[in-house]
Amino acid sequence: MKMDIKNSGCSPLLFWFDSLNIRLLQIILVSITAVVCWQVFSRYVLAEPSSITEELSRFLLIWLTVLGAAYAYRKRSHLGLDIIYNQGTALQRKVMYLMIHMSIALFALCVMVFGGIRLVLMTYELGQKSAVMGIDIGLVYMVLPISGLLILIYALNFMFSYAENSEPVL
Amino acid sequence: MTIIFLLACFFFLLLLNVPVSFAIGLSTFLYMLTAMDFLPAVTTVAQRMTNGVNTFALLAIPFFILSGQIMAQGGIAKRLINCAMALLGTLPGGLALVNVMSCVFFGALSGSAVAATSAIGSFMVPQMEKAGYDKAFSGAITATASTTGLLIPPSNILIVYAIASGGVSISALFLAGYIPGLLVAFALMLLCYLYAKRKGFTGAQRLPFNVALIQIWKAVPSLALIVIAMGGIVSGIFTPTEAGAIAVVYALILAVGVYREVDLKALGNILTKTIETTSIVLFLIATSSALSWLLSYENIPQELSDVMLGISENPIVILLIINLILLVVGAFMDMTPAVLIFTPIFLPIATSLGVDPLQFGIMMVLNLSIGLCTPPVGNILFVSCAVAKTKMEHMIKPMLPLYAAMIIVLILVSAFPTISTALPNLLAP
Repeated sequence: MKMDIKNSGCSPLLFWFDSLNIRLLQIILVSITAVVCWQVFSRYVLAEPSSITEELSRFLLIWLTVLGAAYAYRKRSHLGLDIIYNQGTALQRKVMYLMIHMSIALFALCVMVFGGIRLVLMTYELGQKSAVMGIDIGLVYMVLPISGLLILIYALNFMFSYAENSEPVL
Repeated sequence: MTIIFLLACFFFLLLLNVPVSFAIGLSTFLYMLTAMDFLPAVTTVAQRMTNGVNTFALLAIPFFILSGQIMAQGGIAKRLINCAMALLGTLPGGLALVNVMSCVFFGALSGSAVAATSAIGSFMVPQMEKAGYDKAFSGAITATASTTGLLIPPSNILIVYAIASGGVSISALFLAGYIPGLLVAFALMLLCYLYAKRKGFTGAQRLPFNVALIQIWKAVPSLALIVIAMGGIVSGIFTPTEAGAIAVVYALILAVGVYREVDLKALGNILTKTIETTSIVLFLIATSSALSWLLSYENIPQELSDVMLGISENPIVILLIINLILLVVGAFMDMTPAVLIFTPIFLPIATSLGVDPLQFGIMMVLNLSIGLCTPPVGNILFVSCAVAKTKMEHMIKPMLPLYAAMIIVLILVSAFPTISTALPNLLAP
C-alpha cells in the first residue's frame, strides 16, 4: 500500500502542501513531548505543577491525529484489506481503485469538511471556551475541515493520476 | 434490523480495500443518515471522532512509538543480541534461544512486533542458517517471538485496549502483560531447545567471563529504559503518558549523546516515521469511537450479550466462543482495528460473567497475536518471510508447533485469571 510521494505525479502546489503539512506535524509532535516533559519537570523540580499542560497536550494530540491522517493517506499507509483487490483483473482493479478514493473523498467532504465547519461555527456561536486555557474550542475543531480539504485534494489527485497511468502502484 | 445495513456497508468498504479507519467512519456516517438529517449526522460523527482522541492517556502512544523509533535507529538490535548471546549462547540450540530472547527485548523496547521481526530477524536468521538451522524455522521463530513485545510493556496495543474498554488502568494492564508475555517466550524457547536436541545443534563456545560481562553491560543502558518507564509507573511517580515522554528524552540522550548513532537529519526521519505510524493508529481510534458510540446508542452490545448469554452462562464456554471468533477475526484483520471494534462488544459480556477486564485484555491481545502470524492477513508473517527469504508455504510447517505453543498459553491465560492478575494485584499503584 505504500508509494513514494515524489512519484505520484504531483503539481508543485501539492508538493508545497505536503512539505508544509509534515513540517507542521513535526512541530506538533516535538511540542507535545516538550509540554508533557514540562508537566513532570514543573511537578517535581519546580514543585509547582503546571495547570495548562494536560489540556494543551490533548488539543495538540487532536491536531496531530487529524492532520496526520491526511499525511498517512498521502503516503497510502493506512491499513487496508487487500486480498480481494490483489486478485482482481486490471479492469476490476481500476474500478475498485476509483471507488476506494471516491469513498474516502465522500467521507472527507461530508464528515470532515461539512461536519467540521458546522462544529466550528456552532462552538463560536455558543462562545465555547476551553476549561483551563480559555481558548476558543472552535480552534481545536478547525483541524477537521483543514485536514478534510487536504484529503479531498489528495483523493482527486489519486483519481486523476490513475487516468494517466494504466497500472497504478497501490 | 437496520444494523444489517451498517454491517453490509462496513464489510463492502473493507473488502473493497478502503482503509479500515475510513471504512469505519464512512459506514457509521451512512448508517446515521438513515436515522437523522445530513447536518446533525455529520456534526455528530465529527464530534465523536474528535472526542475519541481527546484523552491524555492516548498521548502515551506517540511517545512510546517515538522512543521505540529512536532506540531502533541507535543500533540497539546488535547490543541486545550480544547480551542475549552472552546469557544463553552456550545452551543447546543457543542461537535459536538467543533469537527468541532478543526479539523479546527488542519487542518490549520498541513496542513494535514488525520492527522486532525485521531488526532481529535480518541479523539472526542468516546466522542461524550458517549454523545449519532451517531458514523457514528461523523465520517462524522470529515472527512468533516478536509478538511477545505486544504483551510485555510498554505496549501500545494495551493502551488501545485500555481506551477501548473505557476505564481499565493502563498501569495495571502493563503489569498484567508480563507473566503471559514471558510464558509465551518460555514456551517458544522450550520448543527451540527440543528442536535443537533432536537435530543435534550444540551451543556456541563459552565466552571468557569478562567478555560476557562486557556484552551484558553494553545492553544495560538500553534495557534501563524499561526499568525507568515501568519503575516510574509502578511506583506512582508518573503516569504512563509521562513515562512515555520521559522515555523519549532518555532514548534521545542515549542515541545522540551516548551511542552517537542518531544525528539531526536522522531525527527528522524518525519524527516523520513516528507521525505516520501514530496517526494511522490514532485516526483508527477516532473513527472507531464514533462507531462504538453509535453501537451503544443502538444498544447493540446489550442485544449481542443477551444472544451469547442465551447460549451459555458458563464463563469458560463464553470465553471459548469469544476466543474462536477472535482467532478467525485475527486471521483477516490487523490487531488495532480488531481490538477497537471487538472490545466494546465482548468485554461487557465477559465482565457480566465475572471475568476480570485485565485478564480479558491480555487474552484478547495474545489471541490476536496469533492472527498476526497466520495467513491470509498476517503482517509479521509477511515480514519474517521477507527477512528469511523464503515463501509463505514453507513457513507454515515450522509454524505449526509454534502456533500450538501460543494456543496452549492462550488456553492457560483464558482458564486461569491469576496468570494475568497476580502482578497487578501485588504491585499496581
